[in-house]
Amino acid sequence: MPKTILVVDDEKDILTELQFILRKKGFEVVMAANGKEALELVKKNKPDLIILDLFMPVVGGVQFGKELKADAETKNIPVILLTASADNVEEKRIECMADAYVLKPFDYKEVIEKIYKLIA
Amino acid sequence: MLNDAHAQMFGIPSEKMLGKTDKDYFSKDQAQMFWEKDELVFESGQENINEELWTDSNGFSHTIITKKNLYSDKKGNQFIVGIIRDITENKKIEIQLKDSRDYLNKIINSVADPIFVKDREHRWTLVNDVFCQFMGYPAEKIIGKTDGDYFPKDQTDVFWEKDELVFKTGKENINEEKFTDARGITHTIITKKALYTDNEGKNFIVGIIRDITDLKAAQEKLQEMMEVRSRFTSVVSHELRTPLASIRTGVNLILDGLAGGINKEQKDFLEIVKKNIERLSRLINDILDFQKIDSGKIHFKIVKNNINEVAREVYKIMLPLVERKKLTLKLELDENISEFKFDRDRMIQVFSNLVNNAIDFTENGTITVVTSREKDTLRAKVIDTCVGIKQETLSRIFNPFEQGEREDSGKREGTGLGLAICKEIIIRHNGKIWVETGEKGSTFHFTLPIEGE
Repeated sequence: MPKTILVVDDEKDILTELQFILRKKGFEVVMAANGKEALELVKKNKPDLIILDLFMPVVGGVQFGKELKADAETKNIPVILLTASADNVEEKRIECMADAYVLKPFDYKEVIEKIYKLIA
Repeated sequence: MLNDAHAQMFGIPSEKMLGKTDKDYFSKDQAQMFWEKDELVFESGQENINEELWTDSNGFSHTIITKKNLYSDKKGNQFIVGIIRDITENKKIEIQLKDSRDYLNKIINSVADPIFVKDREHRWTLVNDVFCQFMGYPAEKIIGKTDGDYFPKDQTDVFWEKDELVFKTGKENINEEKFTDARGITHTIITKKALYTDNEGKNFIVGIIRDITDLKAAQEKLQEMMEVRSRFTSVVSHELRTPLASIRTGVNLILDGLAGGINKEQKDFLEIVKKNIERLSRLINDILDFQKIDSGKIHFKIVKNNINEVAREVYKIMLPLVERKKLTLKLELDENISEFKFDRDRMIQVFSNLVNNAIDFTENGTITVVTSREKDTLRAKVIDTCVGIKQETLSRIFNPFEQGEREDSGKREGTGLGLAICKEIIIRHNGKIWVETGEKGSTFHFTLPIEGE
């Protein structure tokens, strides 16, 4: 059974591209435009991994990460943080309780590599 | 007739002086002056009081007040009755007083800040010139007046509240306040007030004002500019990188054949696009990096690290680039250099920038990275074998947005920030960076103090 990845980003173009690449790589993909939508999808789809943008409207990356990890049912889902700001990224990753991060503009191969590392 | 005090004062016994005149004892000028006053009394019959200078037999100058009156006896003989008071000491004190007053005035008027003294009833008793300029009135219109004569009640209340605080506590008070001058201009001032108690136990406030209106305006402007810069940085960072992420991903997935096959020409052009995306990314990163380092926003993680390991890490990063250009990258590392304190990531950046520059400028040849130790100093070199750098651009090479021109005048695709970033990083580590260039290539040197081994 293919693994499911939830991609959360308010940038529609990035969602479109990541969805395309991830499907090519054989993943199921669900998408959300902000943290609020994403939290609903987590419950519904129980993804195996989440790719999370840091800055988003409504519910941002930090709040999403905290809520995800606060729930016993979802706290073990690995998260890869996407961010366009290179300042103190490691601190931001910890704040979002994410497992890894990728800087925008990322090389998609780096994203794939990190996915395989987290859900081999 | 002469009394004993007269004899004492002049040091001549009375019996010797009787029957003599001033001319027998004093200089011609002095005697002449005494006589003039005598004649004045004889003629007018009126009392004459005169302050005069007299030099005693020891050569000391005395200030004396001589009071002369006319006395006529029954026979109609006229005499001068004179009393002398030696006021030399009083005079001295008076001069000293004037001196210290002049001295005080000189000091308070040479200070660029307004100074005032107020008595217990808040009346100004002393002000300096700058205070008068500040108020817009001359001193004679200020002395004896109070804040109440010049300022609205609410403003006066603020000033007096602080005066009272100082009078009551005896403690110095420093307060920032607003103040509107005679021309209607509002100033921001800092007033420092201290208590002064004179010999009689009277209390005064001694105050000094600093006009910080311009400083305040400059500070606000600076603050505003810092905020604009910080906002600009975050906009550049986020708003430029985000679209670049989609562009990069899109181009790469086509180039990698994920969206189906493309022909050679399509691939060639997409490679150009890709190359320029990388260039734009580097430019954005360099601008942000330089801005952050330059503004002191970056916190350097100065901890124990191995410099040779950094060089090896850079070697690994740079190797694909070197191989693509068919160049040779060599490491000549002094393995006896122990770990010392520096920011690892920043030092990777320095080596990468230097090696990257060398790769850019070298068409064929070798790039060598050297580390060595000299006492408590690390010496590092990045040596290339390409054409040298033009002498006239050498001095500007480490300035931001300036690119050193190579002797072959070839156009380079740098940001002009790489070396400026290196310089900032090295300076923040208390090191030095410089370049030597010649026909056979250029060598970039830097040193770091070896601390915290």
